[in-house]
Amino acid sequence: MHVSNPQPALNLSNLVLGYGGMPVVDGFSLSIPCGELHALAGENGAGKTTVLKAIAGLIPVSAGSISTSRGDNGNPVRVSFVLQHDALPSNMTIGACIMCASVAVNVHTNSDEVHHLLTLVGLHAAPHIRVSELSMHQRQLLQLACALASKPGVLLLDEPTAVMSHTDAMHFWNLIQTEVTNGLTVVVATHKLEDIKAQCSRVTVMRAGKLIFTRPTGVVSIDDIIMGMAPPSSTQLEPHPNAIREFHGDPLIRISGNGETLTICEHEVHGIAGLDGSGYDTWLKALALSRQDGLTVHVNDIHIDTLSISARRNLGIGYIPADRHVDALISSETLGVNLSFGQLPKRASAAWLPLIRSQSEAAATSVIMDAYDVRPRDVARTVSSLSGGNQQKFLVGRELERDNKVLVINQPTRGLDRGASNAICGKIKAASLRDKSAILVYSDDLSFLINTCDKISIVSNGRLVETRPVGLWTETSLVEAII
Amino acid sequence: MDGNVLSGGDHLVKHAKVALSVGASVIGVLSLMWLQPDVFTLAFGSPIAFLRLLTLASPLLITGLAVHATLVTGRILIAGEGIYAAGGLMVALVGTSLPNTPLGLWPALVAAVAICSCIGILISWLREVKGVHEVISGLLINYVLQLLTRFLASGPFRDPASDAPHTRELLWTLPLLSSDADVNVGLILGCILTAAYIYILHKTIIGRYVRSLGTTDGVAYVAGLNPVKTRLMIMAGSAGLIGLAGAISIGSAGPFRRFPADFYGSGVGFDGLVVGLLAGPSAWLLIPSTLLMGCISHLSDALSLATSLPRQVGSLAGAVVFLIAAFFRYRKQPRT
Repeated sequence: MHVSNPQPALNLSNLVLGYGGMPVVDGFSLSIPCGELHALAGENGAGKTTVLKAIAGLIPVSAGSISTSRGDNGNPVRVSFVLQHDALPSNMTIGACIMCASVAVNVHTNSDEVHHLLTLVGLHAAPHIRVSELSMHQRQLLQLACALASKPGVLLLDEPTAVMSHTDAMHFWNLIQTEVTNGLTVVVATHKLEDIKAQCSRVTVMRAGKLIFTRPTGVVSIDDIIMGMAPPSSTQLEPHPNAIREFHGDPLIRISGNGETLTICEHEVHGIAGLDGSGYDTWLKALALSRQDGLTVHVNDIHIDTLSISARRNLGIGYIPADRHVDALISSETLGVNLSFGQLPKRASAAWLPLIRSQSEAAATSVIMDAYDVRPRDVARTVSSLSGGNQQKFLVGRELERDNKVLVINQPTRGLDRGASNAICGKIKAASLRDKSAILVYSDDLSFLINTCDKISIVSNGRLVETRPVGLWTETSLVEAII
Repeated sequence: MDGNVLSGGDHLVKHAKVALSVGASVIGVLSLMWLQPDVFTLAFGSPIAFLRLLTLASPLLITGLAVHATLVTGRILIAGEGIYAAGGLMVALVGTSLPNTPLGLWPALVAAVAICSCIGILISWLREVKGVHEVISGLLINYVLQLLTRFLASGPFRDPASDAPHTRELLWTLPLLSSDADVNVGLILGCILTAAYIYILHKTIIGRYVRSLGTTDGVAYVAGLNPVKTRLMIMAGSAGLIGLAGAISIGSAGPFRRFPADFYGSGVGFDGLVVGLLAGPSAWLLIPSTLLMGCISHLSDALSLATSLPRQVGSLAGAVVFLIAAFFRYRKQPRT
């Protein structure tokens, strides 16, 4: 039972934080009472994650102070952090991860408690399963289980529901609300403003590393939050109107399996929606990566099932994977170097011969950074020095600007704020207008799918259960169909 | 031997023994190695001495490069010492069996590279397909190669006309660049290979993908480059290069020309590990790392010559450098 504690659980005073001497957060102060679910909102690169990292002790504080309340034993309460990109060792089992997380802070967790924690967070997997076998959203849940195993007083969450379906996110928030009721203090950085309104007690809005305001969510509207995050001139607040388009002629892409066929015509943006574990990813992989059992793929009447990945890239099939850190970007390399990843040159010999010219590479990187508003505009920066949202903008920009005819996009708006999502929506539509182009996109952000796609298909149990033009879908009907 | 060197040697022996006896041995001996002017003069005081350094450094450059190539893909070829000996033995076995043809030693060199590449493929296959860590398999293969090369050179393939355990003398040998200090073609080969390696790793697309394997397989996989095949090829190539270095050492006109049973343990393979580790993420650093390890090896020889201290004392110094390099290479990176 929660006992009210007059002492703030977390007190940040005049914080100055930065990387490599460059300030990212300047003069940030915030006081959060015990048992509060507090949201941090801001554009990509506003400094939300930096503040969370500083609270967790992952980066040094240049100036100012951070203090936490003290527990019954007189020591400061424990702070646990669920990262946006998990740092779980891929070769360890689920059970070992949870036990290690608790042992690290001298809390003993037995196998019964491991089972209890897994059930609590909704991770339906056996403790002996290895982390490498989990999906992104399952790894997110495992991180949460590890965090709870250490019995924290303050829990920090960075974009916790970015890769969760609507249903999983609902379960997640129910769990967090229960923990908050039991006295846990939670600080969550998220771009999902509806979640902030529905779940959090107060919201702090940040812009360019500075605190704009802190208000109870009951008295602040989503528009107020958006206005606080960015002035109207700098961000596209409204999505592009999604005009209904008719497609005629033979489809450019045909993916068939189990008696169903997904067809995509030239210039069409086709969306896929489905729960995690519904098998939607097999439809994406069948087109972008490799043969999937039971699915047959034709692009431009060419049967591509047996083609290697490099042959598919040579055919002009591009792919934006969901996990940018594992499959798309090398964090320790500069943006210029990362520009060359994604596909090999069409001629195999070209991969060995051409001298990479850093000037032309910097110019090409700069063009993408300008077009996709990747900040700060410094081509020499490493990927790891950018915020998650800016990394995602760079990745999407890199692939959309390539001369691909077919593009498969998995979670394009992961970690993006609303303005950036709307901008990406427009860029995807523009890319679909190229000759012989077609785009297949999956996102758990249903409003993004509705704003971006011409048709949306629902996948369940690996099967294509329903396809409709976007005009016949609403968010509510999509949720119903997905479930 | 020069009287000054001998007196300096006495001086060194006294200090080295004291240092060894009090337990601060390696650091003490290291400081004696670097600070004692007589040893320094013996090691670097003449053009011949410098050429001798290059002779020591040339196989190190090749083995260091080979180890570095595996390190950038997230693996490590730890069996260098055994593979180096296997390459040397192979060139001796094939080279002494060759008929008198215009091909000279080339078939023997090709055989050495081929057999060593196969060892690399075995280590990589065990890791990538069967999940056996390459450090474990590499260490075990090292033992196998040590015993096998010693057995073959002192048993079935021993020169019956000689009292010492070694193979017969090669019919053909590679020419020396400088007979004064036994500088062989390995030096030129090492320089060419290093230049090509630096270019490929830092200036080509394929080099970037290879480097990406050190962080994640996903980036290369999504682009269409098979990470398993790539690592297999790199491990095979690296082992082949180390074998070639061993083959050149044995196959060059000069001190060897035949494979001695105690060839394993020359330290080139282990020092190559240090060179690869010291270079870290930058291939450019292979050159100074090689020179550093060459200097340590060279100074060990000089110290041994001047003081009668065993040459293995220098290996201890190399081991200290290895530990320091490993610490910095594998320390936990701060999360950003």
